[in-house]
Amino acid sequence: MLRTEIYIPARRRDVVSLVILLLFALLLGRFFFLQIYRYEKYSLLADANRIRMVTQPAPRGNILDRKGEILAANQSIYAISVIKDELIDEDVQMDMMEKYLDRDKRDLQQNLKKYYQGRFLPALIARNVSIAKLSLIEEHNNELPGVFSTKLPVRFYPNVKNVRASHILGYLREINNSELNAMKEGDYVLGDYLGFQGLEKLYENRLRGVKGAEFRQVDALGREVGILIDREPIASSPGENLHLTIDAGLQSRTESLLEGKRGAAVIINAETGEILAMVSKPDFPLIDFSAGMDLDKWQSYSTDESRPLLNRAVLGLYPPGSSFKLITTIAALEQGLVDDKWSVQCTGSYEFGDRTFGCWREDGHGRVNLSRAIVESCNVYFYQLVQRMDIDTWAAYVKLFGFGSPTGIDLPDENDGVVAERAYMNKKYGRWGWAEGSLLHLAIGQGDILVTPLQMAQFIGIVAMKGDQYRPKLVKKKTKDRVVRIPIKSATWRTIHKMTFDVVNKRGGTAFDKELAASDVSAHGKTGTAENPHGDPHAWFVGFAEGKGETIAISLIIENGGTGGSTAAPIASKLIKSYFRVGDATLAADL
Amino acid sequence: MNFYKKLQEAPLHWLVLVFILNGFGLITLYSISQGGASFSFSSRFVKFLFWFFPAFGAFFFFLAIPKRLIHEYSYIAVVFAFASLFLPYLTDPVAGTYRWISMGSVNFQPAEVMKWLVVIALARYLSDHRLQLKKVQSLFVPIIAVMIPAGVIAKQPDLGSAVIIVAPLIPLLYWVGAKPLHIFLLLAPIFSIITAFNYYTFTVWMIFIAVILFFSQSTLRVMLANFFGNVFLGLLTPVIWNSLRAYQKERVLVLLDVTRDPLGAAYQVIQSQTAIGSGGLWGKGFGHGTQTHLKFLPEQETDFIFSVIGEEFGFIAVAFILVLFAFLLLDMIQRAYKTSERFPSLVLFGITALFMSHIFVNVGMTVNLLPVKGLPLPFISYGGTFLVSCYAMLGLAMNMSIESTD
Repeated sequence: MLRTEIYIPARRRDVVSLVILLLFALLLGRFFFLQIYRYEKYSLLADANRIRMVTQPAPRGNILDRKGEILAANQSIYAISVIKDELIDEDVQMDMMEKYLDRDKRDLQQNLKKYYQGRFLPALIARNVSIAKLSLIEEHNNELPGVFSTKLPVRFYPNVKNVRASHILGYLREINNSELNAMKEGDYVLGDYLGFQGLEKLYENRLRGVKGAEFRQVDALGREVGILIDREPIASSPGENLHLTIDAGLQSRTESLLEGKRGAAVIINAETGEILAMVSKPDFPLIDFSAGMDLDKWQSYSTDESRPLLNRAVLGLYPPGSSFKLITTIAALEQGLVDDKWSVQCTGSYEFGDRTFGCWREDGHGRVNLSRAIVESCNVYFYQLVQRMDIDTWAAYVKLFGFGSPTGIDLPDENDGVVAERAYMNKKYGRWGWAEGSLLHLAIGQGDILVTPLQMAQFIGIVAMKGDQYRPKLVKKKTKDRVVRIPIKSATWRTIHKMTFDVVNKRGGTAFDKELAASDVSAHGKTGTAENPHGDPHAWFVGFAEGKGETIAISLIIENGGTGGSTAAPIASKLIKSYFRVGDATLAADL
Repeated sequence: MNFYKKLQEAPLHWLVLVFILNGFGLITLYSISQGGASFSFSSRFVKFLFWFFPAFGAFFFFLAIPKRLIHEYSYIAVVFAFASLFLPYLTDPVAGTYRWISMGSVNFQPAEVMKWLVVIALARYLSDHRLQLKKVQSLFVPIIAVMIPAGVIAKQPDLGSAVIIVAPLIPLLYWVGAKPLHIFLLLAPIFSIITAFNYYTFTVWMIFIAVILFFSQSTLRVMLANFFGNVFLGLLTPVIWNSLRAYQKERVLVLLDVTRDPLGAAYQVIQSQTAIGSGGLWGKGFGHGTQTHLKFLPEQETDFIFSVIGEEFGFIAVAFILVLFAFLLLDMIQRAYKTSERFPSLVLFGITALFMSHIFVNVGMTVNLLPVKGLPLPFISYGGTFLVSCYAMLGLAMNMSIESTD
């Protein structure tokens, strides 16, 4: 059987040999492709496998006032992290930590789930652990393998001069998943904090700094097997400091004068647009937000009907009241509709059509000319004056001073306000739904006119500078802003300055202040008492003061505070006096 | 013919090639074991060294044994081996499979022996001078004889070994002189099943079959039977696909898209490709493969040892080893061609086919040319019984390459 001869043609051998060679060539070609052609790609992949980057947090930039006082800085808090793989009995250890940390076990477990990134990676389970509780954990670290403490930088507020500045500075919030996904750039990770309100939000990119990194070699299970020697760690670089235009002393003084009230105040350097103080009350201590807030506290803030989280200075919308008579006056003077000789008889009320419009002084002002009408704030005079102009003419002057549009301040949100024009009124009430009588209301700052305290401050600043408009700002800039010139005749400015001066300096003026009148500070103002549907009228004061080569503009509102003259004006004069150090020296010493 | 004389005529340079390959395997194993704390006698490197004794024993045994005896007892041996495939079912499954027979500390896979016993039995059947190879009916017996053990092994389940059992069949039929048309018709069902995953490829393939059949000068009956047989198999494809285990399906799908399941089925393939690709031209050096030593690469001593070579010693070493293998196999083909008798030529050729399929399947899988199969690389992978089996095959091949004068 073995003897069976075989004849195999050479061609058959060659075919088989060729197939073998082709198969080997295929393999070799594939290796060439992977090892030579794609070498770079796979080298990077292999490095990505073995190198773990451990990020080092960057300290956030400090926030300072105009004189260099620190308003917001950083401090370290302690946090407890857990490496799941090293836990021996997760349930028992969680029970122990519940006891030592005095936190709900479910919260700890929820955090572990939320921050879990892998069996061998630390996951944060408790933030802001006090030293006392931390030492309890450290004491029992034999029984708690896999539990570690770490340091985290968080915001800290030194409260120099008791400044809170809650709404200006704003607060940070832990980044959430959807924000993280929407983020196109930046090296944010889950658990990072992100500016969520105020300047912290707007200047997030300047404040946050650049994270550092350390490189560690890890094995396939993710266990660290040492620090890499062939890769230098990258040091974190702290964020930029933010120098504000805020004057900590004035800010603090304003905050304390508004304490216990609802309202807002804005004080601007009229010559530059720099905001010296911006207060909204009620406010909140920022430290509550610095290391994460529990739900109950958040609930109490967000449901408080006095709305402490709202920055009333830029988001609050109010009827401006009588302070708006200044604009009506400017419009009338510019249009040549009035001079000081023209006068009306105020009997305390005015009949227009089938309606009666009242003056605040029910027994009437008697014969009133323009100066008296401003100084004593006579409504009846303005009811008659405004009938000489068209609603759109009036609205054009209102808008000229920036009402109805954002001021452009460097804060994340700002309200536009509302300015009634013919088109607006037609749209809101229908072509025949509103009467010319509406204009009578608008003339004294009531009705379909809503403004923010910041817009009022900007307006009175323009008046102070006789037409120069600066964009209000909170952060100092090296470059000078472009000035917008509002075209108003200088005669008009003279008249307005004279009248607003009398409001403060002339006995009988609604904001008369003896000390200011006697001082060398030249203070001007106009009060307002804005009727509103929520109870007592809002008390307004807008004004400016020149002295020591400086000009500041003030806008101040106390919600439901009564009349501007009795509530708002005294606070404003105190602010002017303490800024220019007039009168009581102890007040000035605060600054 | 005495053993000494036989040894003089043997192609001993095959041994030299195999020793070089063993050398690569040992160096690689040593590099891998360096990850441990210190050198120890329980390391796989040392264990493997001891396996060379039985391996050489098997080599010389199969080199010395007269061809006549091999021829005579081949059928009985294959029946016994077939019976031993069922032995693992008497014990508990190992890792969920019935592949292994445990003998003390040594695990033995009956399929390991089965593959070359099937080759010998096939060679004996095909070397029968009464066989009329021009007739397609003569091919049915070998096909059935191969499919039955392959089916049993596939059920263990060990798809890799089942493929290896079947692999030499077609080459052997070609070598012994079967008509290319018949071989085409034998292979056609496989393509019919594969192409049926897509409507268009299936259509193109069916047109191709029809054209071949049309020009084959067969009877109409044969043509129609073949054509509709293939159509039927194509229709069976979903049934076959559904009968695969989930992990087997995944391995096939990964071949098409490696990013499919990076932490699951594709993990091994991705890590292997990364290891190989990052090795570059010269490799990362002995003991410096990060994929290997940080344990990203799985099965690095056995199935994926070639990836370790690729990572640590680079394209240069890969090319060198592949050239060695090619040289060995081509020389074996040349010897099979030169041999004047049917039986030895067929055994030698069949063993060459076995080596070739092992090498191609193993290396192809490390670079994602083929789905992942648990098949080791001859003379390089760690594995005692596999080493013995490889040396037995080498001895057998050498034995067959020597012209007998007795």
